[in-house]
Amino acid sequence: MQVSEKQFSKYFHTHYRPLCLHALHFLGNTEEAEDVVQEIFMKLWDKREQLATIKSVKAYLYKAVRNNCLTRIRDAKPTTSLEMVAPDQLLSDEEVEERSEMEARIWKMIDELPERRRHIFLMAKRDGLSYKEIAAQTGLTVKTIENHVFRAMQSLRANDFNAYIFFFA
Amino acid sequence: MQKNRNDIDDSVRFVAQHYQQGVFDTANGWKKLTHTLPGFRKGHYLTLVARVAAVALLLLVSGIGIWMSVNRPRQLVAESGNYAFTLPDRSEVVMQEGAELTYDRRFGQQDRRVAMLGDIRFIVTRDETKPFIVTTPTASITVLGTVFDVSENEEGTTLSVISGRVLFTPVSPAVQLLCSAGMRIHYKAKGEEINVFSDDASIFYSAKRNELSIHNATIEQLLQLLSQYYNIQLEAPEEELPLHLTASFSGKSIIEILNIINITLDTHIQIVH
Repeated sequence: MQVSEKQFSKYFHTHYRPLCLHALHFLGNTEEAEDVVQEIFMKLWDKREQLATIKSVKAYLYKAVRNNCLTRIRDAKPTTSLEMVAPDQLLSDEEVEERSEMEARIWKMIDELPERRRHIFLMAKRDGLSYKEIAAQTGLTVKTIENHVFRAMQSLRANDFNAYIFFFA
Repeated sequence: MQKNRNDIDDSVRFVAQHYQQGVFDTANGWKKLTHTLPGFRKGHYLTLVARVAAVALLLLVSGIGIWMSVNRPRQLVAESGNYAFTLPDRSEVVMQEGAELTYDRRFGQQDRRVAMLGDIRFIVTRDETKPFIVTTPTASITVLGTVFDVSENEEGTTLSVISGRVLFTPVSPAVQLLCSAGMRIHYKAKGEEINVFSDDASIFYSAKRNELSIHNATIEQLLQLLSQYYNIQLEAPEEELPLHLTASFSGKSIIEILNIINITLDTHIQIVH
């Protein structure tokens, strides 16, 4: 049985970003991670006639991304650091999938933060700057910085639809 | 639970370290992929393009402007004096002189969206499946069926709720504030200031200056506002909810504010995780 375009599109839209994050753990490079995932979906399209024989397409996609990444690391120049190999070896397949899905949600939520809050959030979490250092760089008070990071973390953790549920209930 | 939290923190750090705006975008990825896939959708695209081209050509040749006028948003302007109008969903608007209201042909399909400038009263027909959404340059207001006034000028937006409940969202900070009958919200875009008034109480918040002033508000009103503002769940024992409070805070975090209130009023407000 051949997979329809609609089904294929659904696989892509559900798993694209989590798979990119999955690949990013191996490769540490967003561009390469996206290339891998594009390649995997091209292969999936080529295999669409055999898809009915694959038990779990999701598990297949994660395995395929993993294998592709490991091959790339193996084939890369010896400058590739050894510790990058198989960063998921302590996790079960299920845990790897859950982590990738969670990280895809975090990525999306950072995307959706207001610009100034995103900037401050990244200074704290990416650059590891203290609130005091961020305050000095941005000219804002330490309290304001604290507030921005607190609220960014809230929107990562909290359910954004509380107010809507309350309103329409 | 602790492990779970550590996992989230690790993931937040990992994502933040690699985050780049616009990267890992599913829509872009899909576009890129479908361009390279052999045999994917090409037939459909051609038919669609051919159809659009044929329609466009027909319109150009015949010179009929119907297509344009159907698609063009409907704009109402109260040029001189007040102006009352009934929208396609039978909601009524009363526009003060100078007010403008715009809606397009999708009005009522999935929701009921209008954009406005100036001062307008809305008497909205109830339809729980299609929220009525009013946008001004500085805020958006979502309702199901109610009566309210919106006043907009270059400074900001004011909402007065006559009956029912209305969800008010300023452009920045984009927090959702629920207002019930008798409440008035005044939002000033410049200082990102939100002022909420009821009959005898008011709460003022300035995001830019990080100031919070409360005048004669009950703990219940305050918790409702703060929990929506910070997107957290706040709780206090029921007997403490009617207590009134007048206070001003400047440069304090939400946790410090709650601690000060708890110590001063001997209340037991807490953040529910």
